[in-house]
Amino acid sequence: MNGRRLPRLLWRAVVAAFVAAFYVFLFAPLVVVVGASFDGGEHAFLNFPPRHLSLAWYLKIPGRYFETLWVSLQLGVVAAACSGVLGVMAALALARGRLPGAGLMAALFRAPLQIPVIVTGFAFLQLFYLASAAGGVPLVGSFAGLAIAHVFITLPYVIGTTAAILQRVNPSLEEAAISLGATRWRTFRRVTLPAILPGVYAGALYAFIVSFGDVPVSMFLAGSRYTTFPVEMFYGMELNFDPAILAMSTLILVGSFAAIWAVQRFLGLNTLLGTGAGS
Amino acid sequence: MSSVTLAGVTGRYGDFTALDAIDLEIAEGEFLTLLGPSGCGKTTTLRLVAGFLEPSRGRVLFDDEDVTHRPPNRRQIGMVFQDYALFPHMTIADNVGFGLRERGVGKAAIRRRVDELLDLVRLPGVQQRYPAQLSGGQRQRVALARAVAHPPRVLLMDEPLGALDLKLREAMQTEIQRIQRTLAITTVYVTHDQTEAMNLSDRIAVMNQGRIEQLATARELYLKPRTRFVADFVGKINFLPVTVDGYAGPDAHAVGLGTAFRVADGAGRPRGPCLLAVRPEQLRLSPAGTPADGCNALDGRIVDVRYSGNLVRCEVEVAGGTPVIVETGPDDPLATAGTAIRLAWAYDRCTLLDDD
Ligand SMILES: Nc1ncnc2c1ncn2[C@@H]1O[C@H](COP(=O)(O)OP(=O)(O)O)[C@@H](O)[C@H]1O
Ligand SMILES: [Mg+2]
Repeated sequence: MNGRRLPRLLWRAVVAAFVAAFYVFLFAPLVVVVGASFDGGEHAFLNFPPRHLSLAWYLKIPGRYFETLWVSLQLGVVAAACSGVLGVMAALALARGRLPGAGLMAALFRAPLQIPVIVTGFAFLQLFYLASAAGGVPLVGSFAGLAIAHVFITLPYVIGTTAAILQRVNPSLEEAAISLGATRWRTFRRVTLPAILPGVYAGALYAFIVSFGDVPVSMFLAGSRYTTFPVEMFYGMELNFDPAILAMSTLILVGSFAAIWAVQRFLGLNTLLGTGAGS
Repeated sequence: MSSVTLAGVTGRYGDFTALDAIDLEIAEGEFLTLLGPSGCGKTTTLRLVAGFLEPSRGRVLFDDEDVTHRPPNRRQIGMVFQDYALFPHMTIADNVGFGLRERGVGKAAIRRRVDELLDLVRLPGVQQRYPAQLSGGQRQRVALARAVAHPPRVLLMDEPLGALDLKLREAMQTEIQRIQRTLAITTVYVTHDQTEAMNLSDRIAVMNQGRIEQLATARELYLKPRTRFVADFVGKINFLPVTVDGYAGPDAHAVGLGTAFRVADGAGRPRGPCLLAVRPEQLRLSPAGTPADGCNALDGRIVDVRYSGNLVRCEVEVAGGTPVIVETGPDDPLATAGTAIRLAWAYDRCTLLDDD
């Protein structure tokens, strides 16, 4: 009996060790950042574990970080909302409409995922220069310009999650609604939309996350008035090491976990992420 | 409630003709079943009546109204789907009341009507449940209640019992019939199960490869099938190769398998080769050498016997022909393998068909 149990115990230990290593790998950087943010001393480098516990750096977070954070949050919400609406329309057209060249369109909608983001950023910069030269619409450095580019890079996520769930919606549900007298719009409103909503939420959540974390595109398009939070942070790190960034990062981290908890609690993250969001 | 008419209706998917110039009239309040093998065009016919498919030729009429180009949501139809198609995110009450709400009926009136309908399908008290909380048979009842709520001019059902097991299917057949009669709703029912079709229908349209082979009552289809396909699809039947060689009043004379036969009302058949069709239960076993007075007779030998409770099925080898199947009572003393017997059947219990 021992002869049989030992290998199983051993096997379990190996699995446990692997899982532990995985989590360390995943969370160690975060732990270091959070820990170092509570070190009150003046250093030109990161101090972990902290020597003098203090909230000093939290009080010294420059105001521009909060201003740009506000821009980023607004941008994320606008990008997620616009991508949500446009993505649902595109997914419906691709899945239900009898469009000629639907395959080509689907590939086109996926394109933003395949172009390196830095190229996208550069392309939008050129486009906006052209637009302002031609029609005098100043998009570079404006919120609208940033929003347009963010919708472009986040749209594929919503289309992907929505199309995936739409394929699994039984078409006879829609026919049942129509047979009962519902118009196309009412059928969408009362039957299709509720069925695909988890996919739309999941896509919009991804859209927000992608928009909120984007540096390459925003770097090209941000101006002095509208800079996003990650771009601001990027520039802050470039010049010299500022421990206030650690403090700010910790706040963001706490905010993210709170947001995930809220989503989990009120929408059910598992159902969201189980909607084929990855495909 | 309306009568429904398909006049020369052709249904295409791209270049493929799924329905070829169909004519069909369903009387007001009638229960008509489309019966046929998978792929013969039953669903296509139903979708044409519903308006989900527009005919490439021909017209669809409800009473005398041409609805050929009217979209399905304005045709006042009720549909029951094989997979129920209940809205999973709505309560049973909201499902059943869906059509009423789309038609602008007030909340209180909807509630009253939903209660009434759930009583009708014998599912009181499930108003606040969700479809996932009901069994298959219960869901089908809800689907039926939802489809007849408004009430529709015609009720369309596409293999509604296909997903249920045999016992439940039989119980639901009775339910469907009761509800259809209570409401006197014009009904088009689709199935590939001939027993179900015969149990339920006023008339049955047997379909094959996009055409209606025969439209008749169950009794007529069974006793007077017009084509080999219908004879074969509705019940079991034996085909004997014969040649018509003369007539006697309304009857025809035919020879085949070294024997002469007489077929009642066969005078419409031209001389020449065809098939004599006779049902297994119309054949009687009698001892070899029994004189055949006033009926057809064919000599043979029993080669196989299968007991199935209420009857015994014998396989009989006849001279120069394919095996003939005979169904007889479980106590028939002649039904043992190896016995030489004579098969006998009445002139009016067989029919002549084209060998197509
Ligand atoms: N959407 C479609 N596109 C192309 N062919 C179809 C479509 N629907 C059905 N068919 C074809 O039309 C024929 C009849 O189909 P259907 O009416 O569904 O048959 P049934 O309901 O009797 O099984 C079949 O050969 C089927 O392959
Ligand atoms: Mg079908």
